[in-house]
Amino acid sequence: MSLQEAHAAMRAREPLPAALAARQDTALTRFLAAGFPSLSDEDWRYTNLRPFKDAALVAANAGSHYADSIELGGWRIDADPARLELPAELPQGVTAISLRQAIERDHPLLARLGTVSPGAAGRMGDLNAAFAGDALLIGVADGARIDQPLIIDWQLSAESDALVSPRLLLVAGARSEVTLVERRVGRGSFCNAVTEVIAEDGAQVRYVEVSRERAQSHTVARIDIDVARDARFDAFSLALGGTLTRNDVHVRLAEPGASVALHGTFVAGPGSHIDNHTTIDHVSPDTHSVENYRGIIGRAGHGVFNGKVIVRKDAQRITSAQSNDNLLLDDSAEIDTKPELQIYADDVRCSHGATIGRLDEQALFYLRSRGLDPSTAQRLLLDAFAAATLGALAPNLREVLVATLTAFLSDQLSENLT
Amino acid sequence: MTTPVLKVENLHVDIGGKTILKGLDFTAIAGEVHAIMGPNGSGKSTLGAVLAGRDGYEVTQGTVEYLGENLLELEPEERARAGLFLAFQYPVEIPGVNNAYLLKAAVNAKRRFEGKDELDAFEFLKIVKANMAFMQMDEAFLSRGVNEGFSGGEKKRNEILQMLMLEPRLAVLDETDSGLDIDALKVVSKGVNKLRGEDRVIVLVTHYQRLLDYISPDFVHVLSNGQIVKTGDKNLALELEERGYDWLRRDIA
Repeated sequence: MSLQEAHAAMRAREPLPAALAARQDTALTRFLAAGFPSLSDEDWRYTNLRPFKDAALVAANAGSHYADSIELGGWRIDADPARLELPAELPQGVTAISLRQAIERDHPLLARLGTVSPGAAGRMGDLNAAFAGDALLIGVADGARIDQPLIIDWQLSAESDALVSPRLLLVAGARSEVTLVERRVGRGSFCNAVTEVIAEDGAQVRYVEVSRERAQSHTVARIDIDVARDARFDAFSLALGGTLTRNDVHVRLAEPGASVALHGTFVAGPGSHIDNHTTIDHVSPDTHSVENYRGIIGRAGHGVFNGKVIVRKDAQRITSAQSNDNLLLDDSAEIDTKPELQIYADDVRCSHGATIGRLDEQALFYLRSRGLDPSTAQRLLLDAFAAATLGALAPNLREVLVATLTAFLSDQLSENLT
Repeated sequence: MTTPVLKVENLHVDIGGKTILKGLDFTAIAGEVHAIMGPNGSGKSTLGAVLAGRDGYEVTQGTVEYLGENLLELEPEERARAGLFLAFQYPVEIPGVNNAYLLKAAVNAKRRFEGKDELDAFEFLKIVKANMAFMQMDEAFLSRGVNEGFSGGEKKRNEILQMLMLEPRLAVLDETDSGLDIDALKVVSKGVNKLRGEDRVIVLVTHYQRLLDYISPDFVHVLSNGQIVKTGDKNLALELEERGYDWLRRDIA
């Protein structure tokens, strides 16, 4: 089935409100004209989506639920990307509405959807809009401090030909504080997610993304963030396994005082490909960024890190520090790491660094000399390396993420990560 | 006759094609404390590394028996569980691996090997806190990464803490006194003396005599150019302090 046919079948299965249908159709037309990105696109040099051109994808029905061994405390939304049903109760100061409802009620959040770097979400953004049967719009009121995290657990289909299109918008009002968690467990589908975040003046947004993939899962996840005056955005990303994962992060530090910290850990096990493409755009003077990505690449795994930092003309007094550290566990493991600094201002302090290494033999011997068997010693060192990006998280969240991470690493090790 | 805890015979060891130990002989019976002294480059640290099972040390001749068994056939972790402990000259910093976690994992690995029940968190904490108090260590060290950001003296105390927790039959202390101020030296010595006992062997590998002011050895051996060239009682250490090593150097062409 072609994408067009898949789209028609989806529409026949469930008619949509006119405004939503029109939104989908416009996006589909644009996508069909442009097609999947190819390796000749500079931004897609390492990740080839062209094979999907001929894949028989179908729009997904409701999928399976996210499950984790440890319960994460907070306000949880069990989200079916195709048709959202929202919990009756959410913390005070938080509005959550589905796109369908928003259209029906002409909700103010509707006007914000698609406004962060409009059009820049590119072809895959269009593909998302063409197939997204719904979207989740969340607003946090000015000055609201939301103590417990908002957790979006996306349901992903287990069908191997299913195209899943989660779509999320978060608008954090001025001086608000909120933690948003998005989690996905891929079980074989093709997930093409788009998230937008707007951090208004003085807002503090913490964003956690967990994608825990089984083999044969494909994920393309794009997030665009606008950070306003004196606002701060902190991201923690775990990308674990999967056949193909592409994470695109685009941060716009739009006004003075805006700052961002991106922390990411990715684990590319046997045969998996994980591509992290990040862009931090210092549009305004007095903006600051920190970025650390850590990769663990196992047998026949392939990791990519591309860290673009743009400092615009007249954006003075900028600080930016980027690092990417990688552990290769096998001779067949591969990493492509590339800093990409475009600096058009003078008063700028930018640093970048990349390391590629193996597990520390001295540390391994030390642990073994204390009676730990080699696999335990190896696992401890991997856990420590991988969890280092989670240091700045609140303890309860950190604990759950570390557990997710260590469980994954331990699974992978038993499946011969090395 | 009692089986020696450690029996080294005619041990020859190469590192990267270079022969470092050239026929070392050395036997230790339970209850004894041995000091192995020698100038830099005599092979002191090589001995500790070979006993602990570090990679890259090739035994070309000779045997090492631990409690009557061939030690060289065992993996490093098997040696540790069987009761061998090496206190490192330069303990490695392992950021992100929790110190308490390592201690507990190490103790329980040994207990499993011995067929004992593992310590639960409560029992473990009780023992570790008592040992830390004895070593004058702040309990905050438990929640830090292994040796992460520790000063030289703190690392050595941490080694001795691990040793007290593991209660080894054979403890080899590789230049544990180097880089210690006098207070730290006293605490470290106190830890070693606590462990000293009828069924254990302690081997102190050291360059200087001053550690032996606090831990009185039964035997002092001088290692020079890969061999033990002289053995005596603790007075030999004093003599070495006085006269240096040159009078004992043996050149093997």
